[in-house]
Amino acid sequence: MVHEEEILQIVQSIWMSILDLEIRLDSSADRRLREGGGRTLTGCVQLTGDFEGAALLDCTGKLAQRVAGVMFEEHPDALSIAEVQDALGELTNMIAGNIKPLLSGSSRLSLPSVVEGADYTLIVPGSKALLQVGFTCEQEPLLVTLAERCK
Amino acid sequence: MRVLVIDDSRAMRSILSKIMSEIGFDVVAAAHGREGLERLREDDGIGLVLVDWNLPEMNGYEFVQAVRADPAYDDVRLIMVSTETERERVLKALDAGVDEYVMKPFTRATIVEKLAFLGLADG
Repeated sequence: MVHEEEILQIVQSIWMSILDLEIRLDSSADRRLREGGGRTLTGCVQLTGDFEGAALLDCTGKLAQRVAGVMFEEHPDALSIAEVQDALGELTNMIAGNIKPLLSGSSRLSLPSVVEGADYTLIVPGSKALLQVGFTCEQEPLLVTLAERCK
Repeated sequence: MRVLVIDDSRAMRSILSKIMSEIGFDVVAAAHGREGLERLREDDGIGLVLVDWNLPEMNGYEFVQAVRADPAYDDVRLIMVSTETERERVLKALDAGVDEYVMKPFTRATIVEKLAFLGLADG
């Protein structure tokens, strides 16, 4: 079983080490993302093996551009869509990779995929959210979800 | 010395390339293991490779096995930089011939520390 505190430590470690940005828990992140109405991105890394499921990272387009700007050391407006998606995919990959040792047994990571748009729902077929942790970074909501395939 | 950075993420290649340039390395990059092998064959000035584990086409573990199977690259140092953080994975990579293992996320200090351990940077 993975706990909220462990997800918090993983995400804070990535945000501090790679981005040098502060991030804190925010229980309203899910609602803010759903009701925000703007462009959002979702990164997804699937886990297969003893644990079957996925790690998902949802955030606003504005935050995705901001973190990509830090990773590429470019102004956020100068980045291509592909660069923003790449950065979010790599952050999702790091989150999934650090969750994996907390799961029982042995699992493998897929390469990350990223979807982007407005008013969409990403479904990992046959799975349910095991744990969902909301965050705020620079006033923008961010959501980490660990989904497990139903057996 | 020239360093080859192999990672399928352009953002991660950018971060690692910047760190290695600041330390004083010339940097070349590749997006997967097969491209990395081509770079290595074309450029005999490469003395160090930073390689991710999860890569398309040829993964980092397969890349390490291919490099260590060729005596021409005996002097090339290999550092795996990966989100794979389990002890078994680290030991498997070390058994295959990597010289050091860096877990993502990392800091610049971690990279410098590993390079210093290999005698490739001041600690």
